[in-house]
Amino acid sequence: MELSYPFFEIFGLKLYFDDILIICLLFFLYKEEVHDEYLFTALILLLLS
Amino acid sequence: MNEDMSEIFNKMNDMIKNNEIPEDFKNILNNFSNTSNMNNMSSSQNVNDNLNSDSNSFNFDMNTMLKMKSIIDSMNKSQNDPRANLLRSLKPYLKPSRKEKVDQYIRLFSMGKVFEMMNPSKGGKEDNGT
Repeated sequence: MELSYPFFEIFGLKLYFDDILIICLLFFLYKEEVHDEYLFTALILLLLS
Repeated sequence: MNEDMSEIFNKMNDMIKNNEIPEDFKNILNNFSNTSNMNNMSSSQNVNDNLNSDSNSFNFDMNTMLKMKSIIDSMNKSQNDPRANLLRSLKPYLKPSRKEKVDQYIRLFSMGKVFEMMNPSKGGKEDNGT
């Protein structure tokens, strides 16, 4: 998979493959009602970095 | 000299028979029974103090050793931590800059576990399985 090119772009916001992977993982954990603040914090910080 | 000593021993016998042994003398007898190389009361007192402080430090060391052992055990268990495993499994799909961050966060997880071990009143929260 290609990490250097954006996967897609919305309103000038470039989303790469790993961004989408982390967002999907966050959504999955939320839907599965995993109450792990540390993991959510780590994933959000990873997404923002 | 011999008469003096015999007089002293007689007095001691009388005191022992009447159960009138002073505390100091009891200490001396105890010290004589514990150690064989004590000659006078001051030295026996010092040795007794040393023994007490040694036993206290030993207890302290045992407590700290037990705490250290539990902390090390919790750090070793962090290798089977589901949060850390999830982040590790994500690593191959992330950018190199993010890979470094993942390592940092895994280390933070283990540190958090250690702090939970040190403050059991705040910790003890069960993982819900990730």
